[in-house]
Amino acid sequence: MDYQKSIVEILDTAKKLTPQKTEVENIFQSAGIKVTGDLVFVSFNGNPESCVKTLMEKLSAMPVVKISAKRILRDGGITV
Amino acid sequence: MEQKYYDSQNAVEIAEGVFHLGVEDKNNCFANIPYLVVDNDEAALIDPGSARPEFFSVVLRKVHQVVDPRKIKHMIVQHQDPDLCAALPFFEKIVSPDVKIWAPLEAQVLVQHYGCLRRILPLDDGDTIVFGKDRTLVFASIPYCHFIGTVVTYDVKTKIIFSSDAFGGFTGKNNLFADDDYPVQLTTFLGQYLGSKKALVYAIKRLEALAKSHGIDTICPQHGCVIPKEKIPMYIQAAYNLHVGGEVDSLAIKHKIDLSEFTENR
Ligand SMILES: [Fe+2]
Ligand SMILES: [Fe+2]
Repeated sequence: MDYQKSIVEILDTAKKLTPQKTEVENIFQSAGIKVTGDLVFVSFNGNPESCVKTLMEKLSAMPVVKISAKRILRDGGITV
Repeated sequence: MEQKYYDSQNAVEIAEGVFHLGVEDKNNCFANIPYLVVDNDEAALIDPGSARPEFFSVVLRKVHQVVDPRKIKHMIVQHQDPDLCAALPFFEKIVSPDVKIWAPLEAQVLVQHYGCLRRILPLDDGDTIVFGKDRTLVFASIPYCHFIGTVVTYDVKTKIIFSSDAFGGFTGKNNLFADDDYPVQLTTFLGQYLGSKKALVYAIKRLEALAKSHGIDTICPQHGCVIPKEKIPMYIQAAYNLHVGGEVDSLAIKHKIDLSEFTENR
């Protein structure tokens, strides 16, 4: 399972859905996923699987991004 | 087509007598777009919108800008969800005293619970409403897209199809017309909120048949962006490509439920 590929797609999708880039960036950072202010993936600060799991919990603050993330993870074969 | 933007102050006339009364929603990326069709001193309000004050106040301001609300002779709700019709009881107090409120046959039993005083009149496939000077709206059922009682509304004069949630998208932006981001916005909304590919394909084919017989110049969804004629084939293709009902697959894996013999939603 390619966690990085799915995270990159979640970020690309978020950019097309919401103008609230800072909020998205902060949620990713709080889940241990380093991203730039322009929502480009930098690195996982820890185990990718647990970062993604935490991300999905934190994304409840941005339901539409979470809805898209669920689809992208499913398509990537990732179950959290 | 040149991009335009809508705001909280001004209704936008998108075709002769057809006004976009949209309310942007940056926080939820769920713009809510009622439409007002005006013809010779009479009007029809399609999917009047939310009861939340910050939504209703914008729609009300835009209605007043276009027409005296008492000219509204018809209020049409294309399915029963609160984002498109919870405002009915508020509008009922200020529109024409002999207004007719319409909802799809199967949605009528639900819509009554928003608390309108009048009986909700049922709409079925092929029904028409005529107002103003022969302004004709024709209704087509697209069942299970995303509710058993779902209709779309065709304005014969402008060849606009008011598609409600079909062809809707999630966006926190306020562009009037669909741009290059719209396929993703459509996929995120429609792909996740529909359960049946068969229902989706039926709806698309119904619109394609209508386009062939009468022409469709514009698709006006209740969320997201207006789709102009030149982009309709691209979004029809995007809709055909949608994988719907995916949450069932996800939860089946999580709960180890075997659905492998069912592949209808791909
Ligand atoms: Fe809906
Ligand atoms: Fe809706």
